[in-house]
Amino acid sequence: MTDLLRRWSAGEPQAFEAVMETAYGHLHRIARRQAWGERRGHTLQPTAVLHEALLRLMQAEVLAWSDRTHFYAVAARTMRRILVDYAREQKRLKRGGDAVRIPIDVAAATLAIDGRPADLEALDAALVRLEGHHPRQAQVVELRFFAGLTGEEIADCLATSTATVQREWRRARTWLYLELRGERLGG
Amino acid sequence: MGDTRWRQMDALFDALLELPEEEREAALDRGCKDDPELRRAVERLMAAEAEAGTFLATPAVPRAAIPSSLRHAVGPADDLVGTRVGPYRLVRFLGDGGMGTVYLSQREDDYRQEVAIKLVRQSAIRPEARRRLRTERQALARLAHPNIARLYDGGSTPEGVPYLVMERVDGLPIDRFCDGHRLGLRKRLGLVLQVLDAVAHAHRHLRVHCDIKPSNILVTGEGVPKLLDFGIAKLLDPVEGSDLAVTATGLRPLTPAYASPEQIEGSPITAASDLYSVGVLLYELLCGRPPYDVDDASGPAMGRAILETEPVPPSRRVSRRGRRWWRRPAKPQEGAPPTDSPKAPEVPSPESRRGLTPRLLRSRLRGDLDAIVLKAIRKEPGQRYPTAEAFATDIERHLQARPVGARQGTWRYRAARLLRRAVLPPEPRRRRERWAWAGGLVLVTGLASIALSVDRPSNPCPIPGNEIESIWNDSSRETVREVFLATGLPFAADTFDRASAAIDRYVRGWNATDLEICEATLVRGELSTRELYLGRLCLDGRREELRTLVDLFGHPDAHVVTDAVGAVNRLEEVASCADRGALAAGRLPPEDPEGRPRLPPANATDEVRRLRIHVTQSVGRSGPESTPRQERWIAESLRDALVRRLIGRHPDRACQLVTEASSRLDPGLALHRALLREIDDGWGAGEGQGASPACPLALRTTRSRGSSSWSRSRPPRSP
Repeated sequence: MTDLLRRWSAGEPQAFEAVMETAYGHLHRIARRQAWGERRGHTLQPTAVLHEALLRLMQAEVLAWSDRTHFYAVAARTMRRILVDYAREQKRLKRGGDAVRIPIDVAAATLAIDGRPADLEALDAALVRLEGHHPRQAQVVELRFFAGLTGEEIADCLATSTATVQREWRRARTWLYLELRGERLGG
Repeated sequence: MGDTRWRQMDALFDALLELPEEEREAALDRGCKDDPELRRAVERLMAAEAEAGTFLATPAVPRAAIPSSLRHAVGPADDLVGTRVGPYRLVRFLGDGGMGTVYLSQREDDYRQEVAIKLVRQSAIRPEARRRLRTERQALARLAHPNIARLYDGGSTPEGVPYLVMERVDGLPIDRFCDGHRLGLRKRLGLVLQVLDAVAHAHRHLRVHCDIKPSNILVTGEGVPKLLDFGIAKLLDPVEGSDLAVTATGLRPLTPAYASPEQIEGSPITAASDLYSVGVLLYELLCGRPPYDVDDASGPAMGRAILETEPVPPSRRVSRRGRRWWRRPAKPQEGAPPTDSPKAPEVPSPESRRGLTPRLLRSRLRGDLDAIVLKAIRKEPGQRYPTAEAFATDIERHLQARPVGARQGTWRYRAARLLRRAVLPPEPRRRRERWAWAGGLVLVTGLASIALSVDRPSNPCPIPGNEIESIWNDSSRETVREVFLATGLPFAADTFDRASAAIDRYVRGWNATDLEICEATLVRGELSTRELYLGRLCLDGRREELRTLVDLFGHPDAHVVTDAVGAVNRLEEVASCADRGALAAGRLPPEDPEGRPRLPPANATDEVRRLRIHVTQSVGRSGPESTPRQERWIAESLRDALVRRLIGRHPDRACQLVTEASSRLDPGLALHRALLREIDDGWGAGEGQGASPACPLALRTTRSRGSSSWSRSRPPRSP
């Protein structure tokens, strides 16, 4: 994979095809996994999500990835963007009293706090703040929550140990949890 | 919360998580001595860790349904008058364009403040492009130029219709203004010069208009042209990125008649496309007709003509039919056959709109203006004027009766030029002596060129300095001195003195070479005008290198100051621009004779400079996508990289830095794409094939650039 990406960034179009195929397979697995884990997940279409994600990846013109880190980082970021966009759109339509209701109920269970649904937009904003303090923690969250990578995969991507990823995930998750509850820690 | 505080808290939290329950209390005591606040925070974190439960445990997945209901159309024009948009109320319908509807609007709290609000048609913008709309809008709002209608603000209505708040310009489209006021050629050229100045300003700020045409240039009652919608076309470009395509996507450029060949082809649009459009505009303003006669100006035939037909010089487009009519302007002949220019009395001819006869108009256009216009609308972007400044300079030269770069030099041409200079002096007070001199010239017609070279009444070569003085003058010198001293480095003052002296020497050399080339051409006749042009191009490149460096000196860090003198000394030598051998061979004078590290060629230097400005501007911009910290980091890395690159010591390291920096940028952020493009353009051109493999960006771009930049070894084709 890494080699493919390198050849791709060096301008080999065939390598691009291969990269896309590999990446697609992987992302597809991610999406399927997510679909199974989702609360009412029978109508999910991971393929559509992926199409959209890949489309955006290509539009972003990030062709100079030299390794998988970049690729997955970008994939995760893209997923995050798609989801936040959807959430925002949904909110807007609701607020505008528009007739069209789009039944997006993004991971409501997993984001719920104290029984009331928390929104992705707030999570997104909190992540931005976390990035300001500790970019790697934010990236761990992004890779895990928005790209569905496992601890090992994330460790691989960030060239660190699984233990470190685990620790950072715990801290980041807690911090985000408090942020989304609207609690500000003193200091 | 401060960053230090956050890290303190996070570190303690981390440590506690690793400890068994029974040891935590003690660790907490040790970690928060005399800091009850820190203790409270960390205790809360510990509790929350347990309490968070399944929070974020399952990765998020969206439903795949893409909202298709986003396409609210903008309602019929009149419906919206009286509606509130942001703090404004729409007062009157002004016009309907390809991208949306424009209303005269007033601020609700201040009726005197009138603006134009453009409601963007939903079909003109894809949902994904909206985020871009916001960031780009902020950049466009920074374009402040007297000839550019200001973009103040923008937003979305509650219905989600994006809108732009712009300066209200009360005026006529430039072509109608010129004809309505029967402006002569000089005044028309004056307006185009102002347009070019605006275009140059925008290009310096990395904004391309992409849709320059008469209806986008309004001339106010005071005769000031204002460009509307700068950058909007590109912003609303339905194809992501910068392409407009005809056949491939079924989309068409907004205004084919003014679109450049590369726009028609769907190739990337650059500043050169804008210059092309200005060229077409100039063509029409001069002779009253478009370069290509096509029945359906918006159809595919127009596209073909733009791609394939060689335009005829504007002078040849001046009608011969109007001639007879002009000679009897007052009364059309009674009883003349109706076929004999039937419309003439009602519809003034293009010549009469310029206060000229067709013959006179033709002869005014023939030569310089033909050459300038044709150069501006060359099919190959690399054959056009490289910058708006160069375009403007040629027009100015024509207005001052100085030789224009676009024209190939011949003896007749030079002699005719000089004669005209003598006969039409710029300052009236010298007229008499020039007439006397011209009289003398006529007597020695046969020896004209010798007479010209020896006994000129005034030097045709201007006293040089103005161009380069805009870069290095008292004020920039003082700025550089101050910022150098502000670095607090012990040797800053000394370095400044030496660097400043080195720049002074460089500037003197530049001026001397400029004068030498000019005199060798116009006084001694040793060089052809084409060679003069090449030499000037070379000097332009050197000048831009100096500009880059002086810019850089304006924002120095330790690297810059440390190596300032060296950097000046590594500037490409100026005297080589007068290299006869190279000029005669039609090559740009050689660069980099010993293969030492150097600045990229002129074109790339310009790009790098733009990149640097861009990066500088991006500092402090905090979008929702990235934190100011990240932005700062990125900007600093890039700047650092550029410094190293420009100073030429560690190109590989610089390349790595940029690659790294760009990979950290949010891939969806417009800035990221823009940076990548800029870096590609600037650095690709600067890297040779032997670039280090550690630098994939440069490698990739070297390959993909191909012929898009003007080649170092290819001379501009003469008209």
